Amino acid sequence: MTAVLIILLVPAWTFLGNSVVAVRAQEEEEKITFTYGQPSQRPPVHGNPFIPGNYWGIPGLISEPLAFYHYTLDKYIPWLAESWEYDPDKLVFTVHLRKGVKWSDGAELTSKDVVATFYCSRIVKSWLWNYISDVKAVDDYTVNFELQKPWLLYKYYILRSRIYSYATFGRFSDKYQELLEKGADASEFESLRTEFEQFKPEGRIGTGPYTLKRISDNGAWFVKRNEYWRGIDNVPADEYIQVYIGGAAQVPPMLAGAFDFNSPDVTAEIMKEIEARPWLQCNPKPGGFMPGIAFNSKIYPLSLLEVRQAIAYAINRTEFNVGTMGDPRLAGTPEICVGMLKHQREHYLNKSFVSKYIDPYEYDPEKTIKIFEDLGFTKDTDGVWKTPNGTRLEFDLTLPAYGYWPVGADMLKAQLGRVGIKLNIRVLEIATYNDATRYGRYQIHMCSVSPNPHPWAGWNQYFVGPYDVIPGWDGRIVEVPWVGKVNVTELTVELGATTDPAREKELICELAYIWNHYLPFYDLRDWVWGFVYNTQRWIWPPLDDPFYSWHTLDEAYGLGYALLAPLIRPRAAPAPTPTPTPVPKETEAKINETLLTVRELKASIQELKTAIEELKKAAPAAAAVPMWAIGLIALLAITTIAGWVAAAMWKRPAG
Amino acid sequence: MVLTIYAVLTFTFFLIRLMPGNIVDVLVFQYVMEGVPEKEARLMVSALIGYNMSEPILVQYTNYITNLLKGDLGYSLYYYRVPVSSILGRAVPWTVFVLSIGLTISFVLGVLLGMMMAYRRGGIFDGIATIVGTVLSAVPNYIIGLLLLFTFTMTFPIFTQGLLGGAYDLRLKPGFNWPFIISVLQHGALPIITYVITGMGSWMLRMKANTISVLGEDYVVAAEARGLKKRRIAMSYVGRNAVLPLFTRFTIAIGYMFGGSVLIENIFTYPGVGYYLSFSVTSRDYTLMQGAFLLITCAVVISNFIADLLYSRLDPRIRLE
Repeated sequence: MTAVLIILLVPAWTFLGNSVVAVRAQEEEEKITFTYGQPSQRPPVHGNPFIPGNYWGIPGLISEPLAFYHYTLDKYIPWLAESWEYDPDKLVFTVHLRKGVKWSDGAELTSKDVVATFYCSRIVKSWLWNYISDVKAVDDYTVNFELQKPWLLYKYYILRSRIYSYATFGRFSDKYQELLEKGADASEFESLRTEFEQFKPEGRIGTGPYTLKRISDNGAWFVKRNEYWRGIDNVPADEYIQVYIGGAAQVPPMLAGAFDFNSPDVTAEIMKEIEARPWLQCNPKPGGFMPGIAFNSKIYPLSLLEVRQAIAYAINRTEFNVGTMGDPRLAGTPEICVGMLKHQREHYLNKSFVSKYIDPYEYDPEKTIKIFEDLGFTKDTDGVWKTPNGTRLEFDLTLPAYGYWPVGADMLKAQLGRVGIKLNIRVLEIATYNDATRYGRYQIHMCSVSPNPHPWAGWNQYFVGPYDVIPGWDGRIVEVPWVGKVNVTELTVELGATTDPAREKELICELAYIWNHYLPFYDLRDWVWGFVYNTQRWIWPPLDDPFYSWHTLDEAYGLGYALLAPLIRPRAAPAPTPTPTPVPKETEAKINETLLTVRELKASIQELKTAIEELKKAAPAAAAVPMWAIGLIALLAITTIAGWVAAAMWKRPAG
Repeated sequence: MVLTIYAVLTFTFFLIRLMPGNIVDVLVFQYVMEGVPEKEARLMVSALIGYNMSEPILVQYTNYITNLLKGDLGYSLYYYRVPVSSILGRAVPWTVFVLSIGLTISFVLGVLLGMMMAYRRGGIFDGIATIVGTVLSAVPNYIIGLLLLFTFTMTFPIFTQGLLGGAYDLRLKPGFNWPFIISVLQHGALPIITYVITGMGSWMLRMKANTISVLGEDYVVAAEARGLKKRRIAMSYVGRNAVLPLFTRFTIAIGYMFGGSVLIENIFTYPGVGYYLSFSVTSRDYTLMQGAFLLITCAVVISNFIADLLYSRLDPRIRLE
């Protein structure tokens, strides 16, 4: 009897749960919710946004940037800043703030907030201060950023910075400036930094339209506040929920329509499921990084340029990408490998330059063999090439044990095996992989280069170093045909410091050639993001809108702008019913039977609903209880039931 | 008991530090890539997370033991100085909740079905149930978890709320209120069903074997000869004796329960001990790992001890004089 009761309890409670949640959902139907499924573990919640990797919601919800940058249109959209100008002679970037912007505590946004924000980043030694020498308030609405040197990306990094309230952080920035003025010693700055890192503000004052209502182990709940400087009615979502759910777990809720937007690793199989649901829309676009292989060119024979190039000719990139991803739309095979994203290649490199100087490394296994023969390599007994000194072309291919990497490694092994290069696949758990590759304990490893927001970022990672951290390639003096011998580190540093568009383009061409010719890294793929947009509750822009390219390059800012602008709006009409999949007649009969049962159950639910309403009225408000108490009570209840069962069995026989 | 716990925590302390990679290097790398010199970056990271890797390991160990004796499990390295006890304190109730329900249901079902199989051995029911039991006990729980996940999404989308992960809808305030309780059940339903399905098989098979062996005992024949009702013999003579060894296993399983299930909790994004344990291993959060392992060790050792006491209490034949 007990067992039957228990067996019935869980499904019954779950069923009741569905009904009650449905009733609750009906009650809250008026609320417009936007749910974002983010495929990762929830980051730490420190409460202080200046701590690296700390959670503070997506840009715009609580704290807003000075401007949004639209990647696709290469345009800055003024936000907290109204306008700006740069004086290249004085190296001063002046930002004019919008008037009338209010913080959630009622104070007005002024230049004090901007100065406090940047000085707080200085307390924690933000790298921005490698370029900025000072931030000064000229008046209440004007801020001057004084640069130490010309800086390629000054506008991007300054304008996209989110601004935090002086009321919360001002005492720290003021203290820092005081220490600077009095010429304090390093220990005083260190003690301020330590104090600042321990500072965890309780509330979150922001200029954005939302406040953080609650945060749990796997998500955050933001609700709209009463007032907003742009007019709170212009923000369509009453509440915004960010769910952190990683790996395969995010696919079922996505397919069940639980998210309005999410960004999973879309595979061919998932793509098919999405296409079976017309209300889900996936618009694959190349994203912000490029997977490929990095060579440790300190190791012989990978130190030979010809060997790296021969490997590149032996890889069929199209076969690799289509084979790995299973769907040509997700393949993203780059036409050339220059360490630049697709839109950057289109923007900076013209066709004549590419055809003259850039080697596309078309798949040509015969060329690979010829290179080896020219180098005097011979084949070993098992068909693997060996160098004149007897070193076999047998390499460890190190890769992390997640995503599509292991499948890609098998493809590479097969392709290189065809030309007599042997790969030993070494799949490592992620922390072990990071440890091995970060300190050069690899021969060839699969990883990504991220030239975002500018090609300089990727080149800087490889050409400027620090070499003790990324030791893959250290050939600093190289030959560029139309320039002569150059120092690649100096070129990269110069690119990072140029503000002249013509010189910027020249340097980009030189560095693209070096990357392509000297191959510190061979970019195999333009990563393709398959962001998934649910159209049941929200109307998204047409699929050809530049928003989608921007969004895949800049997920958080793109989404923030879409919600605030708003580029998306709630669907007024009832959500479309997903197109049903054709079902066999027998199943249809069963469905009809089930429907009848459901109707009967609906009547019961109605009764239940009435009963719940009565209970709600009668029962006093439940007091909040700690989690451990709930767990303890659950444990006691279960133990009691188990004890009951045991007692029934142990009942002593009479006589 | 205390010695076992001490040995395990000492072994764990040194073992996890032998793993390649550490959280300090990860954070230092972030700073270095932003232009901060490595030496300075190491000092900043140490101050930030409150952990100094350059300290001799024996000093670290002494500090750890000293703090442990004061009841201090330390602070999480990844979660920026959040006490480990607070993280585990949040996670344990959810693990206990789903696993205790799953364990109890699977135990009760397994015992009942196992007895039925034994009584009807050689019949169709026994044949089918034995195959089902063998399959269920052989299939890893994460496979069943994934199957359930996709079944209840693609075919019967009835746990949509629960699929969003977490232990309950974050918009609800925890407490004894109806929507919260329902939400908790919805989020816990799939992990519970997984534990029931995967746990039931082995209970069934063990109970069947035990029952068959008890059925051949003289006291059962004697009871039948006395004309006692079959139901009474099954419950009070056969069942009672056949379930004894299982009850010990059940008690030990309660101990293991505190470790949660790393795979199941990750598949369903359920924030129990297993979920945090797997993340602490990936992120090399030493203190959180140590805390989780200590909790599991204590639970297992204590449950073994209770099982010993319980067994002698339940079975008078082995009671110590």
